Amino acid sequence: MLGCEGGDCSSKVAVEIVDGLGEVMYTAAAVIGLLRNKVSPGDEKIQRSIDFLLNAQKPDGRWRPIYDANWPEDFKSYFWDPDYIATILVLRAFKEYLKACNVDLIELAKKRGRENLVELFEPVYDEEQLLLITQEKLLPVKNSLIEEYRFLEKSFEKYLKKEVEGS
Amino acid sequence: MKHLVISGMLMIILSCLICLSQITIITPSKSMKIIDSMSKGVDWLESQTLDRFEIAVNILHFLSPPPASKKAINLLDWILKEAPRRGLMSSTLEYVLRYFDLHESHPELYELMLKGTYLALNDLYENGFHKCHGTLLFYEIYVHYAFLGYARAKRVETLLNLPPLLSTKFEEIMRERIDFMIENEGSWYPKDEYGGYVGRNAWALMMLSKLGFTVKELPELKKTVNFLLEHRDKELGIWGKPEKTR
Repeated sequence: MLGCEGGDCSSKVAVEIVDGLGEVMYTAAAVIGLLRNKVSPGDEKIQRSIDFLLNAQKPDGRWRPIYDANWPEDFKSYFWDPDYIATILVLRAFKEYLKACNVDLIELAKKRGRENLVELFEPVYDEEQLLLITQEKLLPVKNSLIEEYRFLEKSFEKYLKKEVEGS
Repeated sequence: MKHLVISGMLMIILSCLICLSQITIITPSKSMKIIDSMSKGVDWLESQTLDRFEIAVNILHFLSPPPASKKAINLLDWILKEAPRRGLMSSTLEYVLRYFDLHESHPELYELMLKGTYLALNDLYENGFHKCHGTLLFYEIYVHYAFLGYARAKRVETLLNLPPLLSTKFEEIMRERIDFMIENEGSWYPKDEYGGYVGRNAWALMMLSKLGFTVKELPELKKTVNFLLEHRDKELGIWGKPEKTR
């Protein structure tokens, strides 16, 4: 969640931080949201956005939240590393776009010799195997997670009681 | 009979044309450029060593829904082992449960997550989230929790007997937000002097789709889609700068 300096979210710093999420992140978010809401990938605005995102990639492979500005280094300490988030968002936007264009990502990655994408996306387990594996992996941590959630229960009961009394 | 054959042929031609238009949306060179760019981006992510947990979770988000690939399973394995040591990360857990279809076998975790959202929303509403009340940031956080709570309530109500007050509360909050959005021509947020409210709507649309709500489930979202399409380029820095300023 977004952070506010000293709890003062109305300060200029906070406003700049939040509004500074930047055109790269917002463009990627718009592409994902619109494509999932039946806007055609052929739409001129989507095409231009994809071109914009392709051009915005930095030589080392990452995306930065703002196209032509440097993100303040100390921002990282607030709540996240914006470069990770920008990079992930653009990757998701590209994935969504290829899917909407009916492009087989795995096939194309194989053709281009992009092994890192093939390794990430090529299924090696069937559905049944996957379910077994994931359930098995979740079990050991499930109980400790439930324990950590328990602290919520008391406050929840308190709120619920207040609501009932209020109504 | 003759008419039937002709209309049948017309239908086939029409479907071919639709297919062709889909194919020509993306040229082979552009799709290759995208794949190369994605591969480079993944290389960069994997080369980062500052916080491996955050990277792993982000990669899992990128994969969503995760394929049954060896790498995705390894990531999941690592995240689940690491999560308890990192403190609770309900959103991470929710992604894991949802993407791997585990919520049906662990409904109690969902119930607790829903309660947590309810508490956060109450706290936000009653205490104004420090001094944020009335600002765009307040709206953003409030709307975020409203979406999250609504999505969780919808998902859990089929699995558990929710206290009626809880599910009703989320229904009410969501209805209120939808009415606000309709009144504001598709925007979930009030117009702000600093700008940025168009981009936040892009974020809201993406978030809702991530939570399982698109125009199919919430037809009112068509308004937000139109809002975004209409506001493209009107506000500097929102989903791409206008050509002339690049």
